[in-house]
Amino acid sequence: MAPRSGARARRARAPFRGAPPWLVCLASAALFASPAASDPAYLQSLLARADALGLTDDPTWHALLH
Amino acid sequence: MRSLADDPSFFLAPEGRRDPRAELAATLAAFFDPPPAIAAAGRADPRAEREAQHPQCRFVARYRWLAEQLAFDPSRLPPVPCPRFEEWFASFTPERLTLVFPEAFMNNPASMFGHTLLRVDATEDAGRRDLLAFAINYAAYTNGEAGALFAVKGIAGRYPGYFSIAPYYEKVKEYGDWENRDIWEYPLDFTRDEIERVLRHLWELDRVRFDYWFLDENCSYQLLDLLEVGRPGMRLIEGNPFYLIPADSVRSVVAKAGLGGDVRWRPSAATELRAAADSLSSRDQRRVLRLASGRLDPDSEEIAALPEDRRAAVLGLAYDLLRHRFLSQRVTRSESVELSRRLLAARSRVPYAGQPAHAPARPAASPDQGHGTARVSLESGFWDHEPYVELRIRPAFHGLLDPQGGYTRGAEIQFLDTALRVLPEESRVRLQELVLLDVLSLAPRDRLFEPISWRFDTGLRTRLLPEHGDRLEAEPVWRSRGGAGLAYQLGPVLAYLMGEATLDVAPALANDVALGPGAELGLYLGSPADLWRGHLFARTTGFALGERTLASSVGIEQRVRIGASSAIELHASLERAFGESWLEAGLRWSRFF
Repeated sequence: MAPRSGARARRARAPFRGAPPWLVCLASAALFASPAASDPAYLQSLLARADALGLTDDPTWHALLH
Repeated sequence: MRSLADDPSFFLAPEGRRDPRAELAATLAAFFDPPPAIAAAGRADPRAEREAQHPQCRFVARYRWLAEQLAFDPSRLPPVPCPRFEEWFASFTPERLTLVFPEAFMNNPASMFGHTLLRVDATEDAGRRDLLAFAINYAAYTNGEAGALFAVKGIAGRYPGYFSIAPYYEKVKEYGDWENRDIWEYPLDFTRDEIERVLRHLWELDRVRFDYWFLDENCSYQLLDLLEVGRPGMRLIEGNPFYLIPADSVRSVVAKAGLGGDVRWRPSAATELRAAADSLSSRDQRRVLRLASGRLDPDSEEIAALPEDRRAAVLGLAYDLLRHRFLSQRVTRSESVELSRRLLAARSRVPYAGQPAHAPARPAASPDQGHGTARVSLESGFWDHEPYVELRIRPAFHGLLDPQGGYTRGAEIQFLDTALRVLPEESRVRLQELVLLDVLSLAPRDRLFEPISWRFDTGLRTRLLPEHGDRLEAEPVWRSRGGAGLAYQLGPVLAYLMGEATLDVAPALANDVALGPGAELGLYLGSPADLWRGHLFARTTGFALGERTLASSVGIEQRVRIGASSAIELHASLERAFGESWLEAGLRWSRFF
C-alpha cells in the first residue's frame, strides 16, 4: 500500500528499488546466511510458550487477525 | 472468532480465518521460511509482489508482537531484512493520528451517513501542514456503480473493500471541494508506539480484500478494527450487531480512545463561499455571479466604480467561485483559465491589501455531541376522535425535528421507524407504521448554489379508507413516495416546496392500488440554541388511479429539546379525504440513545 504521490512513494512501490546499496547487500547476505530449513525444535518450544502465555486468546492477536 | 478479512492470502493456515490458534502456529512456522530470492522481487503484479515477501516482512505487525511476547532467539530464528517495508514505514514519521469525519452527502447513498477516515500527521506536519499528511481510507470498489444499484449491492455485501493511502489534500478536495461537505478532525490520544502498530498492521492489509457491507462492515467498522490494533482491548465496536453508523463510531472513539487535542472544523468550499457572499450586498452578489460566468468584464466601468474594498471583495469572490466550479467539474479548464487570469489581474490592480472578514461560523455542536442515532418514543393522542397510546422505535438515524446539533442541516434519514398503537376503546394493538426507509434532503438554494431538494420513503402506513358505505376504517397500505423540489433559507426559516408522486398498494384499495401526484409546502423554523423547533406543512395528493380521492393535510409539529438526549413533541393536523375531515393530535416523549 504505497502512498500515491511523490518520488519517495513511487520508489516504495517496488521492493529494493531505490533502497540504499548497503541495505541490498545486507538483504543478500541474510538470504545466503539463513538456514535453508526451519528449526523444528525451536518452533515447538515457541508454540509451547505461546500456549502457556495464552497468546491465541490475547486481544492483540485477535486484533491482528482483523 | 471469525476474521473480517475475506482474502485467503491474509491467512497462513487454511482455517486461519476462524482458528486463531492454527493461524498463530502457521505464522510462527512461516517465520522460519528461507528468505526469498531477491530476483523474485520487483514483480509487475503488486499483489504477487506482496505475497512473494517473506512472512516476517509481509506480516510485520504479527512478527513484532510475537517477537516481543516470545523473545525470539535471533540465532535460531534470524530476522529477515525488510527494506521495502522499512522505506514505506519511514515515509510517515508519525506524530499524531487524527480521525476525520466528512459530514453526510445526501446525493450519494454511500455517503448519506457521513464517512470516516484516518490521517497520519507527520512530525513536522502536525497542525501546520496537515494537508500534506497521509490519509488512510477504507472504501468499496464499485467500478463506478452508484445510486440505487450501489445501495442494494452494498447492503448485500457484493463489493470488495480495500484499505488505501492517499495524500490528505486529495481527500479534502474530494469531500470539501467536489461534494461540499464540511469536515471534522479529531486528533486522537494515541502514543507514537500505538500509531506505529496501526501502520505496521496497515502494511499487512495491503491489497487484502474484505467484503464491503454497507450497514455493518463499512468504513467505520474497519477503521475501528484498525484502531484496536494500536490499542487492543478498547472494544470500540460494541453494542448494535446489525449496523454501524459513522457518527456512532466517532462517539465511540472519542469516548474510549480519548482526544489528544482540539477538534477542528474544516468548512467546505461551498460553506466558505456562502459566508463570503453573505458579507456582500445583493447587488454585489449579482456582480460576482456575472463576473464568474463571464457576463461582466472585470475591467468594466461598473467594477471600476466600486470603492476599493468592495471591488477587492467582489473580484476575489468571483475568482473563488470560478475556481470552485472548476474544481467541482462544473466548468472546464479551457472555459475557466482565461477568465481566471483576467479576474486575478483585475484584483491585483486594486490597491487594497485587506482581506474581507467572512469566516464561516463553526457549528455549535460537533458530530460527537449529537444525539444517539436510535430513538424510542411514547405518545398519547387521538385520531379521528379515537384515543391511542403509541410506542415508536426508530433504530436509525436522524429526523428533521430531532435535536439538530452534530447533524447535517436539512438531511433526514430514518430506517425502520416502527409504531405500535394501542387502541383502548377497541382493546387491541395495531401496527400503525413500519417505514423501511425515509430520506429527505432539503438543500437551500441561494445565488451561488442551486441544489435540488428531494425525498423518498417507503413502508407500511395506516390510512382511513371507505368501507361499508360512508364509514372510514383504518387499513394498512404499503406507501411509496418520491418527490423533488426547491428549498430556501429565509433567515431562521427553511421553506420548501415539493412536487411528489405517491403509490399506495393494499387489498383494501379499489383495484388494490392508489396512485397520484401531489405537492407539499412547508416551513421549518427554530430557536437559535435549538431548544425549540417547529414544522408547518400543507400537502395534497390527487389519487387519480385506483382508489380515487383528493387527500389533503395541514398541520404543525413542534419539538422542545430536553438536554442532549430527550425531547417532547406536540403535533396536530387536520386531514381530509373521501369527503370526510378529521383531526389527529398527539404528545410524544422521545429518548435518544
